[in-house]
Formats: sequence, structure tokens, C-alpha cells
Amino acid sequence: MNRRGDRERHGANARLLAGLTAGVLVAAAGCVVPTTLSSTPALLDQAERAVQRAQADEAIRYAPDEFLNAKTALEKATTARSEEERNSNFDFKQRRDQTTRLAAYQAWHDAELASTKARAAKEQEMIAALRTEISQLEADTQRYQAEAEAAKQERARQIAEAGQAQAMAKAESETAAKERALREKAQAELRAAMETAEKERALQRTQELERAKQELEAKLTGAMKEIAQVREEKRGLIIGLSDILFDFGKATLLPGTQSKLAQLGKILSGYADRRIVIEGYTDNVGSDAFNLQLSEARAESVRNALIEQGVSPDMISAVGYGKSKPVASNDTPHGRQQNRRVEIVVMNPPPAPPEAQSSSATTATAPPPTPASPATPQAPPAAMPAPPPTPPPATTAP
Amino acid sequence: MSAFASRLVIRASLGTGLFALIGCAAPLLHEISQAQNAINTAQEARAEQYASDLLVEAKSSLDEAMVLGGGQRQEARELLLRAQLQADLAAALAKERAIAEQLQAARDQRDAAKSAAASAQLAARAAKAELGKPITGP
Repeated sequence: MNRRGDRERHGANARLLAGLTAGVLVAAAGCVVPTTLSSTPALLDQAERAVQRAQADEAIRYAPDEFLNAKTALEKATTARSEEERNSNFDFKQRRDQTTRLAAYQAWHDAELASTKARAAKEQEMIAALRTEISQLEADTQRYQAEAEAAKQERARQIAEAGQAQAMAKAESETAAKERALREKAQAELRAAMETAEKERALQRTQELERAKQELEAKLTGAMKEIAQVREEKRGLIIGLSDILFDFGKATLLPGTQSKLAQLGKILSGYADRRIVIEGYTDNVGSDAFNLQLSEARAESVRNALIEQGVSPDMISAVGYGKSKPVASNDTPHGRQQNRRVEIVVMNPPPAPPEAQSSSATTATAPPPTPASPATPQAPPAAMPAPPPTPPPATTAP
Repeated sequence: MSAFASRLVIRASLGTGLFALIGCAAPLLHEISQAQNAINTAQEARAEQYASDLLVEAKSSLDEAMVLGGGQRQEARELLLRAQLQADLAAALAKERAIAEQLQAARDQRDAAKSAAASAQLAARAAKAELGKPITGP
């Protein structure tokens, strides 16, 4: 029974092997598929390589059943192959060859199955790891996106704050400019008011000074009228002195005239801002040169006497006109007496130009106008050019 | 032989024949079912796409076994076993190929996610770098 069963099993195995390897099998895995054309050693070699690949694919871990089946089948094939080689009986060798081929094919099949399952399992693990990595990457992406969004919002906030700060700075600048303009305007108004007040005060002071001056001059004029002949002309106040102050033909002052000149000097000292010109005149008796020289000397004598009385030498000058500018006829003794004279001219101040007037009004503290020096063009020179030739001077009356 | 005996003989013969028929057919039905199930499993695993040769061979073996007569029971069993093994291997290969495709898809998805993360990181760095720059203009 056992022998017949073995034979049936061997026959079945042979037919199975023939059927299994009937066609050329090309697996997608790329392994070499045993065929009926393969020799028994080649089948064994393919099975061993398949088992080695399964071992390399860690099939013992991922597909242990298939891998152990493959190893068992490979051992069975190897054992049958050894028995076949050790035995010389043809039938035995043929049966063992069939057993070897069948077991080798089963080993190849199980090894390939184990490799495939192991690869699939490892790929599943890799997929799981990739999914974990993908989840991590997606979380990173979301975190980066959140960071970028937060940074953008922060930047927008910064820009908004900067805009507000600029607007505030602009508003503050405008407010400051307005305040500055208002302050400057107020200061200008204050300055204008102060200037106006100052002008008014200056004008008032000027007017007061003018009034005081006029009053003083009126007093001085009145005082002078008591001691000399005084008349007012366009150029100023004319104080006439008769020729009795001098000896005939001389320029030396008589002793009796000193008191009169002293009084005049005190009065003239009051005209601190006037220029004073001493003018000497003669009658037509004598030569022109003599009369001119005499008139100049007499005017100079009067000037010196007044300086001795306190009149500032800077404000007083002397000039002689000889027999020119007579005031009466020289044909009569009375007329010649009138022409022999010394006149003290208190010059009116020159009229100020409009701008000078206004400036003088504003400068209340400005000093009063100083008398022009004798050398100024407005002042008659101390030594006037010689008048045209005149007849010889006449003898002046004592 | 009596009629009763004849009937007994007939019944015994019928019983024996039926038993023999059932005894012979039952293992084949089981193996056919196993082979067919293996092929169905391989088809469900899309073996037509990934291991078409093996699947064709398995179907061919099954068809060949189905047309064999009763006297070729052993050959039929061998063909059915072959069909089952081929279908099992085809199913395993198809599943592995499908998983490999999933693996490749996962790798592509991982690369895309990596690229997206790198882009997002660059954008975040650029946005952060903007924070330190002076603000010019309105």
C-alpha cells in the first residue's frame, strides 16, 4: 500500500511539476520562473536564490510561514537530490529527481511569495513612515504659514503705526507752525505797538523839547532885545551891534563893551543847537581891501570875546563883508553909521528832509543836531572871498 | 438469490457507487473551490494589471482541470493545485504592486509636502525679514 501510494504521489508530483512549469511564467517581480526546460540543478539553483532573496527581504520577519515552507521544501529538494546522486538505481534516481524538481519548485514558489509579502509589508511600513513625515511636513507648513501671516499682520500694524505717527507728527508740525505764526504775529503786533508808543513818546518828547526850545529861544530873544537890536530874517535871528564897540579904524573892542558882550555870550550859550555867525560890515570910506580886512578883524574880535564868555568855538564863526551889503546910504553920516556894524546871526537849523523828520521822531534819544562846523558848505567861511573892489574905507565914527 | 437479496445487492451497489462518486468528487470540488477563490482574490487584487501572465496561467489551469474526465482525476487535482499556487502568487504580486504604487504616491506626496513646507518657510522668513526694514513713504 505504501509503495503504491508513493508511486501515486510521485506520479502526481511529476504531473504537477509538469503542469506547473508547462508554460513560461514571467512574474511581475522580475524573478526567473522555472520551466520544464530547466534542468534539475537549475531548478535547485533558482530555488536557493529565491530563498536567499527572501532572506535578504527579511521574509522571516514579515512572512515567516511562507519563508519556513520555502526552506523546508528546499531542504527536501536538496535531500532528494543527494539521495538521487548517491543511488545508482534508475527508477529510484528518476523518482528522486521528480521529488527534487517538485520540492525545488515549491521552494521557489514559497520563497517568491515570502519575498513579495515581505516587500509589501516593508512598503507598508515605509508608507506609514511617509505618512507620518507628510503629516509633520504639513504641520510645519501650517506653522510657517501661521508665522508668515503673523509677520504680515505685524508688518501691517507697523505700517499703520508709522502712518499714524507720521500723521501725528504732521499735525503737531502744523500746530507748531500755527502757534509759531501766531506768536510771531503777536510779537510783531507787540513790537509795532511798542514802536508806535515809542514814536508817540518820541514825538511827544520832541514836541515838548521843541516847545521848551521855543520857549527858551523866546526868552533868549526877549533878553537879547533888551540889550541889542534884534530882528528875525529867513536865515535866522539877527542881532545888530553898532560900531561904537571899536575905535575908529581899529578892531579892538572898547572896554565898555565887555559887559554887553558878556550878557550876549550868556544868552548865545543857550542856543546850543544853533550855528552862530559873526558878520562884520563897514561903510564905503577907505579901500575895499582895508574895509574887508577891518570887517573881518572886528568880527573875529567879537567872536573871541563871545568864546571867552562861554560860547563854544565849534558853533561860532566870523566873516567880514567889508563895505558890501550896506543897509543904508553911505552918502550921509547917519547912513554910513548904519552900514558900519557887526551882526551876530543865530542861524535857523536847516530844514530836515521828510525821512529825517520821521527818523528824528522815532529816535527820541538822538542828540540834538550839532552846529555845523565853519568848514561845512552851509556855514559861511570864516574868511570869505574878497569882495569886489570898493572905494577906500571911510573913517568909522568913534 | 431472492428478490430481497437482489434488492440488497442493488442497493449495496448503488450505495457503493454513490459513495465512490462522492468520495471521488468531494476533494476535487474542494480544490476547485480553493482555486476559484484564489483566482477571485487575485482578480480583486487587480492581478490583471500587475500579474496578468500568472493570472492567465491560473485561469488556464483551472479551465483545463474542469474539462478533464473522471479518469484524469489526479491530473485535474494537479492542475487545480497549480492554478491555486499561481493565483496566490499573482494576488500577492498584485497586492505588492498596488502597495508599491501607494508607496510611490506617498513619496510624491511627501516631496510635494516638503516643497510646500520649504516654500512656506521661505515666505515666513521673508515676512519676518520685512519686519526689520524701515517704513518709507505713506
